[in-house]
Amino acid sequence: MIDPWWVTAIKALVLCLILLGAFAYMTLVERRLLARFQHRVGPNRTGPFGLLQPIADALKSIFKQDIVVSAADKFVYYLAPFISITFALSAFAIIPGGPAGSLFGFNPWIVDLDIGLLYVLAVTSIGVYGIFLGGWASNSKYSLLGSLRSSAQLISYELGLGLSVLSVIMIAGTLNLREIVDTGIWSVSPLLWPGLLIAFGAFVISAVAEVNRTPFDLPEAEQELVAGYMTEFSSIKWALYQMAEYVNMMTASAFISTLFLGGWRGPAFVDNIIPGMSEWPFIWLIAKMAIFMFLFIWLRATLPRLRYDQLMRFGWVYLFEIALGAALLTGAVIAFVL
Amino acid sequence: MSLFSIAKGMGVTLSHLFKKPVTVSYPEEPADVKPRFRGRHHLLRHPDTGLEKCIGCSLCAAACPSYAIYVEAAENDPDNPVSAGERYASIYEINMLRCIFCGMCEEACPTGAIVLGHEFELADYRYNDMVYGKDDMLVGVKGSKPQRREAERTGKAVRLGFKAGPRAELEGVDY
Amino acid sequence: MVGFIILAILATLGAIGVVTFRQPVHAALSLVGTLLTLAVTYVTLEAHFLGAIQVIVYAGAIMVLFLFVIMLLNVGGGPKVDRFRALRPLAILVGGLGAAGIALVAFLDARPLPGRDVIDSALAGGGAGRVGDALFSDFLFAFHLVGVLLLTGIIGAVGLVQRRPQEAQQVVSEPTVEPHEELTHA
Repeated sequence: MIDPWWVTAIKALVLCLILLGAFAYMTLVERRLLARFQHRVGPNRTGPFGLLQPIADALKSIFKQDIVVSAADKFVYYLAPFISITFALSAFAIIPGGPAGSLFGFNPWIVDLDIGLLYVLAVTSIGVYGIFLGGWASNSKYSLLGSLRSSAQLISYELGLGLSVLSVIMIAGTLNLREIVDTGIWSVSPLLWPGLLIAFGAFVISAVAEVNRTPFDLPEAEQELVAGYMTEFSSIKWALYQMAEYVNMMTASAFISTLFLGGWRGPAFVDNIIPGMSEWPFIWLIAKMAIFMFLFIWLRATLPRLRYDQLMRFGWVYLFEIALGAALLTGAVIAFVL
Repeated sequence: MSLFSIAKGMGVTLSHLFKKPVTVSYPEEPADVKPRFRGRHHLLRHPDTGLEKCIGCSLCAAACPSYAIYVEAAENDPDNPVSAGERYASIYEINMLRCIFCGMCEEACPTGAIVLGHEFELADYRYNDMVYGKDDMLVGVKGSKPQRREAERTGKAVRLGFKAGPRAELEGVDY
Repeated sequence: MVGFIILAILATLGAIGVVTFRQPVHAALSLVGTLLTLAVTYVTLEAHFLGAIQVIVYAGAIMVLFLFVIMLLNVGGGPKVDRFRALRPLAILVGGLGAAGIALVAFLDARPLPGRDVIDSALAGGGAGRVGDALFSDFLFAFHLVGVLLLTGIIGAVGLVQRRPQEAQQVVSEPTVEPHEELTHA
């Protein structure tokens, strides 16, 4: 069943609003959690438990002076943050949130593409331009070096990302995310588990690198590289980059959950408590996403940042080979054992 | 193996997540002031007679590295003495903006009349208000000038933002 | 049809931008725009797989490399270069003839579009399965040859770039004199 176009438009709009709202509150959650990791309290002055902090932050970034570098390439300078946020938001469109027709009779996803997985990879690979052009358009050596560094990182880890997805594609035999969820890749055969586990690990690590989180957060690196490509951006443009970063983080979490953890499907045992509970839309996806979001924050609280050469060596020498090995292992099992 | 050490590190941070924060929510909760903290000055009296200890010798003013203290001495009336000595300080002023709270006045004082207490909430709006006279520093005056002004305005008791342990030199000061 | 006209105009504008923009980054960006428009065109033709691959390979990988090189070399928009002025009439002539030839062939030898059912059965929803089938059964040999060709290219590139250690040192030490000269001239 395909939704009428106006339903899709409304769903897309609502999804954007939800993602941006979630972004605002993710910053609060992250700051509070990081504070607790460090024995602090975190922002608690604005509203109860600091719940109004995101609003205060938003107002601040909107009304701050928007400093435009006079030597900047104006058009590209304005374009770059919008590229980042646009493609970050559109990547989420493909994630299925529940079984067909479970959202008031409509489908709980925006589009259902046969090449859904490639769509996500394509859209995220375009998102690199935001970083790339942002650094270049600032017309500052510092930003330019930052953007070169960041885009090199993103391109390198896209390889690990793409290769570790191969195992899932081979097992599910489809690129459609809804069908991948329906397949239940872990239930096919226990012999596939080793390959899948390795692929899962490689995918999570690449995803962390793709969304620029610690220990791979060289693109931002407030302390020593002072935000690389974002150095010359202020006010709402800077906020747009931040938004893109957090939305990417959420997309990555949803993507990992959908590919490897059964997406919107809940664990089977909850059906014994309330029948049909594992089929409830959104709840399980959000719960799984929350786990990965927590993991991202937890990693940030624990690990130091990698040096640039370590980052590149890890990406090309270890992660690439591990992901390739996982794909080969899964392929061999499918071809020769099953 | 580095994987194990990463796991170990993750475990350490996770265990810290569930510990109580060490933050003191200062204006709501009193700050913990250590016993030897040097805050706003107190001018002491003899506990038994109630006479001022200060004899107006100006040694504190001489010792002060930032010239924050001004003392003017006067002869005591023998029938109705202000201090225990021959003279007393008729004017005793400390400019809190100049004071660096080093405690040299306390060291120099021959009678132990001046002692640095624990009050630290001295922020105020006007320069003149930062000059504290005898009325503001004699034993029994609680709170800094802005705090007392605030208390007078709202009609409530002066609320101090700290808690401190007992201190020998401050004998006779009701904290 | 309206959609196609809009896309065609966008793609043409981007293509014109590639050759007219003086700033190399802008030119590369218009090329990205053209490639994305082409991808959208593929999607409107129900060839989703082709569209996604177009974006991933061309816009996402190759153009990023282009831009990377442009930025690394810091190529600025230089002044108008008159180096090839003599060749300009010839270029216009050849380009015009080529375009005219294509248009002529397209209009004179107009073939009817195959029926919708034929396209649908050939594309099979534009998914990856159909493309994979064709690639790995009918065109397996060609596919492998392309792989070998790419490998040759990579090895050749590595061979060209590689230097012996002492040679590399010479190259590094050479340009140290130049900045001083520039300074004195200025």
